[in-house]
Amino acid sequence: MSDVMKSTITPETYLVRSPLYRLHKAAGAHFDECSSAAQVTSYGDRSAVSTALIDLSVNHRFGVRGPNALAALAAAGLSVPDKPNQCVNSSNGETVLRLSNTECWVLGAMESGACSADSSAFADCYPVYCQDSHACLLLSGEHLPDIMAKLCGVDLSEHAFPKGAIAQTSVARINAIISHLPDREGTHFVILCDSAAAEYLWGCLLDAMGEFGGQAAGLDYLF
Amino acid sequence: MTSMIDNSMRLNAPMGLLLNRDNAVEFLFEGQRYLGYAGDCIASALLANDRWLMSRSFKYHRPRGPLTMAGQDANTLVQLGGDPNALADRTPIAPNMQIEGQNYNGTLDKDRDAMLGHFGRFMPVGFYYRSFFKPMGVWDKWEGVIREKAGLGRLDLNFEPEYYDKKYLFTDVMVVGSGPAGLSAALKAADGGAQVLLVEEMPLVGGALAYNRFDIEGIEADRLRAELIAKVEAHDKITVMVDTVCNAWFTDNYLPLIQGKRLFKVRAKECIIASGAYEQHVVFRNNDLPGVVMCSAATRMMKLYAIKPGQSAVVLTGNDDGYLTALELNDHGVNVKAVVDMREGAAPMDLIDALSKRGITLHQGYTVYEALAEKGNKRVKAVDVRKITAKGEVGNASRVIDCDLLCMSAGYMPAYQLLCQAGAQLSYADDLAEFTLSKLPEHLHIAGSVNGIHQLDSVMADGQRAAQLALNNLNLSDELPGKVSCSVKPNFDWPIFSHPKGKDFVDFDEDLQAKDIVNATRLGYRDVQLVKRFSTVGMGPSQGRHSALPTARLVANSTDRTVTETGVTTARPPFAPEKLAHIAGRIFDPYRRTPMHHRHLELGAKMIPAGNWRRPAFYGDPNERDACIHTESVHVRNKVGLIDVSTLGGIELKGPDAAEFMNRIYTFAFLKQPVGKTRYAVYTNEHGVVIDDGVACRIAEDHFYVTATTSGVDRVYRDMTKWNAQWRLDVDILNVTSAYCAVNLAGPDARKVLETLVTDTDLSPEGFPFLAYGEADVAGIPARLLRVGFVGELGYEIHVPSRYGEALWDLLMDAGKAFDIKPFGVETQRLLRLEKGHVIVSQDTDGMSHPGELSMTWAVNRKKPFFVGCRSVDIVMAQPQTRKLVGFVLPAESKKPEEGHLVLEGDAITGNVTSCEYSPALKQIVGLAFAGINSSQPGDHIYIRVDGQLVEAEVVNLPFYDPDNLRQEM
Repeated sequence: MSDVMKSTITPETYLVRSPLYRLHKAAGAHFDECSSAAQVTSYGDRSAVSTALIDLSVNHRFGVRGPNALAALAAAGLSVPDKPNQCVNSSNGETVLRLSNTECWVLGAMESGACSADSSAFADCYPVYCQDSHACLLLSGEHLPDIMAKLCGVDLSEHAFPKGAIAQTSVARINAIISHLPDREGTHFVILCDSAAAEYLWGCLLDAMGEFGGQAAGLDYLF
Repeated sequence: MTSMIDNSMRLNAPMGLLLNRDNAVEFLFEGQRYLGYAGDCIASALLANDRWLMSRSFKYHRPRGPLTMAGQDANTLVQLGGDPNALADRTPIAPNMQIEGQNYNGTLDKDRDAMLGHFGRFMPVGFYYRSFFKPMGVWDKWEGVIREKAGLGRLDLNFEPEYYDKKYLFTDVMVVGSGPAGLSAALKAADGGAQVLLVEEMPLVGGALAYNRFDIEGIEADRLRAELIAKVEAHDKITVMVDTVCNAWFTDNYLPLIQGKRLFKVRAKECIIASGAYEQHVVFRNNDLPGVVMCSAATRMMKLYAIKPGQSAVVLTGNDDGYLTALELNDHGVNVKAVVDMREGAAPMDLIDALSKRGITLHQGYTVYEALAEKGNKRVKAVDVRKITAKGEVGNASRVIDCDLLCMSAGYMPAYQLLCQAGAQLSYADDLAEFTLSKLPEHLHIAGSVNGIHQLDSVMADGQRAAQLALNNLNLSDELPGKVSCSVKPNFDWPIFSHPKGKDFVDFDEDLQAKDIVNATRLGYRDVQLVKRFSTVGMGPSQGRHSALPTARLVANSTDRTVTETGVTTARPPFAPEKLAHIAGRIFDPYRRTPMHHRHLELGAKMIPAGNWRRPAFYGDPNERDACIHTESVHVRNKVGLIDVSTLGGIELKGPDAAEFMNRIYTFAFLKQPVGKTRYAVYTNEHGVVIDDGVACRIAEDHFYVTATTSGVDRVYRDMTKWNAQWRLDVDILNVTSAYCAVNLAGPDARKVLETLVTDTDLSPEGFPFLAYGEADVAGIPARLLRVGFVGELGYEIHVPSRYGEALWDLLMDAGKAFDIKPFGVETQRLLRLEKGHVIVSQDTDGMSHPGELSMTWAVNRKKPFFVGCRSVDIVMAQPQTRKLVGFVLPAESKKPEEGHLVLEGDAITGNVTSCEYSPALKQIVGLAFAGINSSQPGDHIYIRVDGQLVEAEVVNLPFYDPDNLRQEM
């Protein structure tokens, strides 16, 4: 997509907006359409940046819970982790987060931002509105355990928090779900936090990353 | 201003391990410019220029210079700009740093208050307790004078906060102290497979190996240090942190470390304390003079900072270390006039021979009885040496030896603070004359001189022993650790030689002399804890590092008990002074924003906090609050307004037992609530007190969506999950507060505005009547519509998924332009609902308000068998009621009561005002207040005290506005 096309897209064009879109816009970010919303594609040249923070809030995600939740997801062809606090990638690129014995969240494929279904497709389960209740941030690159150690009391170093692990904990004094994405080169933490506190946590993360040269970025940092 | 750049007391390399001689640093001390090297601390840079007087003592303003060169004392507290009480012997110099001494009147060199020392006998311990309390009122006269003299340093009240932060660290083994014990422990643990964090308070690794002399030749320490450091640096399992102080021990090895402007919070599975020991001083007259230092301070000056401590020295010792110090001084050109050994015949022959070969005189069985001072007590110039004749007593024969340096070592006190914080027992071994530590908690180990091990090879072995214990706990090994013993006795039994003229200091921080401690016991303070509190011994910045041991000995001796019986005072966190900024760190103060937040700012809203949210109070000039609110309220009454109510709590209940669950939680009946209808929901706690309310929407037979107050939703949600843990009903409870945002579109034109955006729902009064619930498409946004009337006008609460929130606001404001729509804030909403007589839970209720007091019995269904709090509601409702929440009115020109103003009946307080505003719609003041039950009927009068005057208000029926509800039901 050309720069000209990118520049024509503004988040206010869409009914669906990320809670962080103003920050991206103020920083001169470029947007592209994703899931009927404006997704940040670029924050400019980030090739020299070792750690990036990317807003994936407009990407699709849904949650289901209840006694039938795990079986229903499996029946729909999604991979389901063997035990709570783990995540796995499904073949279509979605990531399934198992948060308890009866609750899973499904994150849309990072490239497309899309999910193959939503919670309404699982009639025997209770829906969890994580698309709206939570913002979705991706912390990607180097020094992630060190950065998170400034905000979070859980050991997120590689040996204690390997790929596929999930920590449901407090980050900068708000609840958050941290997932160490599996099957990807490099280190990537998906952080799901209260959408109403997204601006707050975004600022905290950037502040913590500053020591390591981390910066905000768009999807082009990944692909 | 002249510049002092002679650095006349510098030794040549390799002395000065910390120095970078290629990088000269200029700084200012007392307005004088000095030159040091990068790596110098303030004290060393001043000493290099032969400047010893750095600060003044707390009580007598005595000149003070370095004592330990390790930050273990308060002799070198200096002021750094607006930052008081910096340790000059630990704080590195920086270019153009401005440093001043502390605690003087005039100049540091000519302190007018130094004369206080001459009146010492009139100022015994606690003199101000006993002198200034009578006659009555005299304290008020003295307080200013005493406070002027008290305190250390000067605070800058206009300081700009700086950035401090915190960070967690996780490790298998943390080793505190990087001396020979710590280094060997770290290596052993890391070799065994553990991840090790090695923490060192000083700027370099090595502990005593970096400055102490362990052998006559003076080569072993350097060799061993280099060997150990090379191994540590090459080990990928060891992380070293220097310039880092472990400031406390908390349960389960939770260890705060301070490094620069960061507080690290360490979680260590195993912790090894190898914190070393504090060298102890000898108590004799004038033992505080500049130039009187610990032996280890002198060697630190030489080895770490390349400072030649003096031209001619005397070493006073109670152990072999003093001999080695003398050799070190001699090696670096200091004329050691004598070694004075308090022991008689205890020194090894090889040390005696070494002194003899260098021509150093040795006096065994002698002590320094008094240090003699230059004019103004600014530097030691000689010592009076005498034969020890008995415990603490000397002969009359005096031998005066000229010197400008006196090094002393009476023994060692383990650095016990962290261990005592962990609950270890500190006991005195009479045969060794030293304290020992025992009864450590699990996963905490001790090694080296803090463990009473002093020989270098034993210290190393002790570090390995502790590491082995840690490895075994980590299941990385199962070897039995070897036993380590030590035959060295470094502590002299009684290094206290009181002088009839005093100034024989036990505690340098507080200018406490030997007699002060003894006198405290004579006044009846036998317990060492009481002695501490009465005399303040150990309460200064050095926290008893040097005073605890002599104090314990003096108290024991004065009370005819053993030191073990006397004990020592407790060590509590922090270990070293820490700034509040370290504790605060980078403050995390979470805030929440609704999706429309920025629209409010763009519209000029005056934002106010609502829990951790921010809400618009009103829109317009903050200085025109009342006018803005009145304008907004009139607009809503006459046209249409829009308010963001996203902060309202939202809870979704879904499942076969959802209705039963609702019925048990809330006071009203919900089993038969029709689908598509809303119902007021009141929540009482188990005491029958109304603690929350909201609107329950029945979306389906098995599906409810219920709102809660902004501040109450978390509690309601928590209570719901708690109750269902007992009830085991088949219902899913989900807090959807952040998932949904909402607006209230209110006013006579509200329907017209909404109809422009909604095409799939009949919004007519018949199609969507008052209290209806429905789902609609609002210009492409899936929405939940609630026809409610909180502000008393035709209104719709529109709840949408949060991602659509801002777009919904934009659409409604755009659609409303044709109807002159205006936003209104929460203050306006409060006025509107007050006019309508609606209660806000927690504003118009308190911790005792039951439904009867609030006239909410209509919302309580007593035909159903149970709801939370029902039994208590029954009980309190059966009691004679004493108060009631009533509506009252006052003429517009009356003095307006404020929330909280008291309602009186005679002298009795019967209640208080909970809400009160001028009502533009009614052109009078309206309010809610708790009133005595006898004054709660319409037509009664209540008396409200407003700014000292009684205002008579009339009780009226509620609501004040539109009593027939015609407007909200239109």
